[in-house]
Amino acid sequence: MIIEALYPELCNLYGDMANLRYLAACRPQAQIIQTQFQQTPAFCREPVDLLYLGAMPEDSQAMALRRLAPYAAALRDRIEGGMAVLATGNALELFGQGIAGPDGFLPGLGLFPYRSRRDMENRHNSQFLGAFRDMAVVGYKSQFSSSEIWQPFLTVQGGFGTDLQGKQEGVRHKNFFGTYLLGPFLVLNPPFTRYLLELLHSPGPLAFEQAAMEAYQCRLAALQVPGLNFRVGENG
Amino acid sequence: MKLWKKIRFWIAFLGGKAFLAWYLRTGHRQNDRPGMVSMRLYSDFLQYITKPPLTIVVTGTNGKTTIAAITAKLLQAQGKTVTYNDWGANHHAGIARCLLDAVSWRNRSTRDAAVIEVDELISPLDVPALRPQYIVVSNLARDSMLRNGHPGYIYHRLKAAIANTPGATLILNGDDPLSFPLGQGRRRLYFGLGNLGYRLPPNLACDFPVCPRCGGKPAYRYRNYRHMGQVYCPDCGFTSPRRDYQMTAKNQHAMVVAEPEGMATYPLISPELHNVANQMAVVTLLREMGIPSQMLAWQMRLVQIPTSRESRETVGGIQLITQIAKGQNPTAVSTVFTSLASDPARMEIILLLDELYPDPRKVETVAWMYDTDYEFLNRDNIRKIILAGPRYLDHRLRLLLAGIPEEKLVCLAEEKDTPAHVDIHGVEKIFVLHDVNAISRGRAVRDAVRHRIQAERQVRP
Repeated sequence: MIIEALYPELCNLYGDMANLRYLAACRPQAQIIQTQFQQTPAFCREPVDLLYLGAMPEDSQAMALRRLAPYAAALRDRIEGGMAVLATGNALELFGQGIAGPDGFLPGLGLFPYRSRRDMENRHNSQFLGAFRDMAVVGYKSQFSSSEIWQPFLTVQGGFGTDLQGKQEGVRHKNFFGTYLLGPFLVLNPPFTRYLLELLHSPGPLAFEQAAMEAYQCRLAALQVPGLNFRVGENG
Repeated sequence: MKLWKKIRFWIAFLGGKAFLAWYLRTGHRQNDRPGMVSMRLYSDFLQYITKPPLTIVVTGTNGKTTIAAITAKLLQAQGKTVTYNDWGANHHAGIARCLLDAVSWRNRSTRDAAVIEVDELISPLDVPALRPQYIVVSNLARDSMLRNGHPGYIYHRLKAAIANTPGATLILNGDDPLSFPLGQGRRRLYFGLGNLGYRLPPNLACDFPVCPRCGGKPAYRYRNYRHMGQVYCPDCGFTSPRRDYQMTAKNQHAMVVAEPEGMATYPLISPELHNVANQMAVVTLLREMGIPSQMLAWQMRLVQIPTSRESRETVGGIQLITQIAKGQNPTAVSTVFTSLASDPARMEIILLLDELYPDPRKVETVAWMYDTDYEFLNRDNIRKIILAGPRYLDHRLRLLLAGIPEEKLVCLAEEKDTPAHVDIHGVEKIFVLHDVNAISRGRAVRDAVRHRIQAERQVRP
């Protein structure tokens, strides 16, 4: 199994690289490629099973898009061919049509039809409870931006959707999973991690599975309290 | 000032003053509510309240309270009357409360100086209103993501604050590539640390991953902690500035500083490297204000790090140390962990890093744990880690993923249960690392550990 993390030095804003470290702990035999900002992505030259991209500062989205633009066609081919992709936080915005913000419109890779909007004066913070298939998914959002709904990944049960209004969250296209849930998404959601590894033809136990499940169940119970206000933090 | 603004200001001012007088009489010295009253009644209150002749603003991610407190103490040692908000009251209300205490009922200044700690997020609103002569920026680093987003966002906030405060001299951290570019075209003085020759393990999270000018990979001539050091970009020439005040050597008790007028020696207020950097900010500020180095060195002997940040004592032969390690702030916690990793003493660590809020909406995420270098605690001389708090299961998973053997971990839901699990036999140091909102809880745990040591080693209190 080959897992590629794109620009880990840049796209590691909120503990996102823990996803990669957790996969490495779960599957020590997996080959992990960390493609630095000035390197050519590995998926261009060899088959990659999972491509991971984490959250990044808003200023860095333009830099990442400049680096990725030459490889957009190859990326589209890989995604259509079944390569799994996990994009957390604002990384999912890169794959759409672009990001509208106070400084103008930043064109995206154009792989998917949604557009995103950035508002640096208003930060959204919330907890999240949702569902994917028969799995409960938990997590956090902390973002200046939102995106239009297109082929949602998760159903919102508590919290806010991709557009910060509706009940649909993230983007799912074939094996592409994009979500505004950020940080250690796979560590927080061991059932989904198991699903993802099975998708990558690597079934089996997770690293520290019991400890991960206990933390997950504890968080899940906290998020299922009736009447919980999912909006949190300074603006909660 | 228009008449209606004057009326609103005076209502807010007199309301706040009256409230403050009552609070001071009833023993509520460190309470923001009088300032909150004034700010609620008139949001431009800070603009119009009279400031002392010398106003210093201290802002940045980490170290604000320490820098502000030391500066205030040293100015007092100079014979100045000083108002300052060193109890963490660095928002609008706390700043207003601080200034209310420094004016007469006729809004005339009654103090010589104000040393105001200002939260970096609100700096564009408050710093211009304070019209300071000096702005000290300690550093920028990733902090609570819910509050501060990321350092790049805070940089833009500080940039706006400085742009609207044209008269201020800037005291900047020349070791911090995230904040030293601030204030271009302005009078800037840089402080920094020389090459201490450290071989640092890489941090999980790097706040300076690419050159802001060209996107190249930055390199370091040396790095003392986190992203702090002398940096340059091999591709475009972006480089750290020349330090006006640079620590060139240090031991456990003193540091030598290269200054524009020559070399000077100062006693160290704390041996911890991040506090040495904080002290360098103070040296730079006060030397720039004309205080002679010999006088400053003498007065620094009498100054301590605020006890809310650090305390040290020896009980029954064991050093018992409390340190602030701001939960939700991965760089602050990692800096403390880095320091622990360089300490060869046999130790046990109590971690109280969760924020506890009565309001269930006030929940922070656990993402910060995965930017924090728990891996640094995976050392043979760290014999046990006792952690407690509502997110103890998340901490346990994080520590396991950091490779720390499960048998070294004690994970508890209740902080008050931690002292019972300390094993004092054969340890030289016990650290209690606590969140910024757990100062009193940290002290309670420390006191309980002290009592245990005293009881078991039959040491008199």
